[in-house]
Amino acid sequence: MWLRIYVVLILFIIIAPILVLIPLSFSSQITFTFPPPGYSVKWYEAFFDNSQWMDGLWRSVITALLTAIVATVIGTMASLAVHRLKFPGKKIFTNLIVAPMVIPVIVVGIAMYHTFSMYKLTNTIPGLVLAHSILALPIVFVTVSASLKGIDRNLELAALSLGSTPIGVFFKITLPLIRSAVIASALFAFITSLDEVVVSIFIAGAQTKTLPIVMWENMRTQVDPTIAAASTLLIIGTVVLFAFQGFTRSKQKTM
Amino acid sequence: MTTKLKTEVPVPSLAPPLHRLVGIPGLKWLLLLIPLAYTVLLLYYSMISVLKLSVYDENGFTLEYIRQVFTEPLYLKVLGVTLKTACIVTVATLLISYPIAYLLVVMESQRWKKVVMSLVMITLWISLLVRTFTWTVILQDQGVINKMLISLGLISEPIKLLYNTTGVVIGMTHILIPYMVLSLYAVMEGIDHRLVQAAQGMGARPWQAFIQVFFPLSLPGVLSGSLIVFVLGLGYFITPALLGGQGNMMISKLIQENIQTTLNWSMASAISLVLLLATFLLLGLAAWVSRLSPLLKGEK
Repeated sequence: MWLRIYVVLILFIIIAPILVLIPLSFSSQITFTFPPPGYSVKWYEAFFDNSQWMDGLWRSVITALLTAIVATVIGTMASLAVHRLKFPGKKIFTNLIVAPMVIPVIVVGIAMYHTFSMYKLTNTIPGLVLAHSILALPIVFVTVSASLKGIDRNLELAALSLGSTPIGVFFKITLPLIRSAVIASALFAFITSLDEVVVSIFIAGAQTKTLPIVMWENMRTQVDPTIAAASTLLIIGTVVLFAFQGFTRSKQKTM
Repeated sequence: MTTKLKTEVPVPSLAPPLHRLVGIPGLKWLLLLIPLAYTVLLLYYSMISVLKLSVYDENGFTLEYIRQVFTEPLYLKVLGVTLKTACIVTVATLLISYPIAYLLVVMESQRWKKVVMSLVMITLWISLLVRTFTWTVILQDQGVINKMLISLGLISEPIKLLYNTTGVVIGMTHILIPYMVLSLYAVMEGIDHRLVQAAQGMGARPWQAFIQVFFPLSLPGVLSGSLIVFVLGLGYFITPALLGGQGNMMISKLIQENIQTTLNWSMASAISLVLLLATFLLLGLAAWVSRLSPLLKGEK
C-alpha cells in the first residue's frame, strides 16, 4: 500500500512539471509566476505573428518529415538485412546501426559539423535531414526488428514458392504484416528530428534555424512566455501524434 | 504410391518474365549495403576524421592534447564536475526508479501496469528541451518550489536551485528515470516470484524475503541500469547547459565551447575521444554485467 502511494507521488512529480508550462503559456504577464495572475492568448499571438518562430516551425516540420521518410526506409532495409539475409559480421552491422543511440550526441554533432562543412552541407535542410536521420535510424531499426521477429516466415516462403519475387513478397506480405511497426517508427523518427537540438546547434546556420534552435536561443537570451507557448504546442503535437499512432494500431488489431 | 503422385505435380510458375528480371539474385544485398554505406559515410567516417585531430596535428602524431585533458586544471575540474554530477544523478535515479519498477512487477492488474508504464514512457517522448525548460521555471527564485517552501514556513529566503549542481541533478534525474525503470524492469520481470513466496513460506517476513531474496536477484538490473544512466549522464549537453552555471560546466559543454568559441578542434577532439572511450568501456561493462538490458538488446 505504501509502495503504491509512493509511486503515485513519484509519477506525479515526473508528470506535473511538464504540465506547469501549459497554464503559464496562457499567462497575461511576462513573468513566469505560477499560478498566472491573469489569462490571455497573447503569447500564442506573439508566436504566430513572429516570422522567426513560424519559419522555425515550418523548417522543423519539413526536416522532420524528410527525416522520417529517409530513416524509416533505411532503417527498415537494415532490419530486413539482419533478419532475412545470411552474412558474416551481422553483429557488427547491428552494432553500427544501433550505436548512435549511445554515442554522446555532442560527439556526433562535432563529427558531422566537421564533415558537413567540407561539403557545404551546414546551414542547409538536406544537411539537417542527413544528421537527424542518423540519430533516428536506431529507433526505426529496433522497432521494425521487434516486429519482424514476430511474424511467421512461412507466409513469405509460401508466397515465394507460389512464384512471387522477393520484392513482391515484401510489399504484398511482409510490409502489411509489419505495417504498424513501420508507422510507429516513422513517428518516432519524426519526433526525434522535431526535438533535436545538439546536432542542430552545429549544423543549422542563420538561415536554417529549426524550432528547437529558436527555442534554445530564446531560452538563453530573452525568456518570455512565448517559449511556454511554443513548448505547449510541441507537447500537444507529440500527444496528438501518439494518439494517432495508438488509434491506427488498435484499428489494425480489430481488422 | 501417393508420394510419387505428389512429386509429379509440377509447381505452376506464375511469375511473368518481368518479375524474374526484378528478382536479380544480388539485389537483396542492397538491403545490407545501403544502410551500411549510409551510416559509415555519414557517421563513422565523420567521427574518425574528427577524432583523428586529437592525436594528429600539423606536426604529425602527438599525445599532447590527450595529456592536456588530464593535466590542465580547467579540464580536470570539468571532468571532476561531470563525474560527480553523473554519480549523484545515477544514485538519485536508482532510488526513485526502483520502487516504480518493483511495483510494475508485483502489480496484478494489467491495465494499471500499462498506465504506469505509459506515464513513465511518455516523458521520454516529450521534447527534452521542453522538459528542461520547465525546470528553469519551477526552480527559479520566484518559482513554484521556492514559493511553496516559503509559504510552508520551511525557509524564509528563496534557496538557490538553479544554475548550480542542484538544478542540473534535478533536471537530469527527471530525464533519465525512464531508462532506469526499463533496465530494472527487464531484470525484475525475469525473477521467479515463487522464490519470494518460498522464503515467506519458510517463515521470512515480507521485508526479509524482499531483502534476502528479491533484491539480490535484481542486482544485475541495478548495475546495468546504473551504468547506462551514468553513461548517458556523462554525455548530456542541453540540461547541464541550461540548468547549470559557470561553476559547474560539464564535459559536453566544454567540447562545444572549444569548437564554437575558441575554435580549438584538437582539444575538442581529444575530450571527445576520452568521453567516447569512457562511454564504450562502461557500456561494455553493462552488457557484460547483464545481457538483459533493454537499451542494449533493443527491446525498447
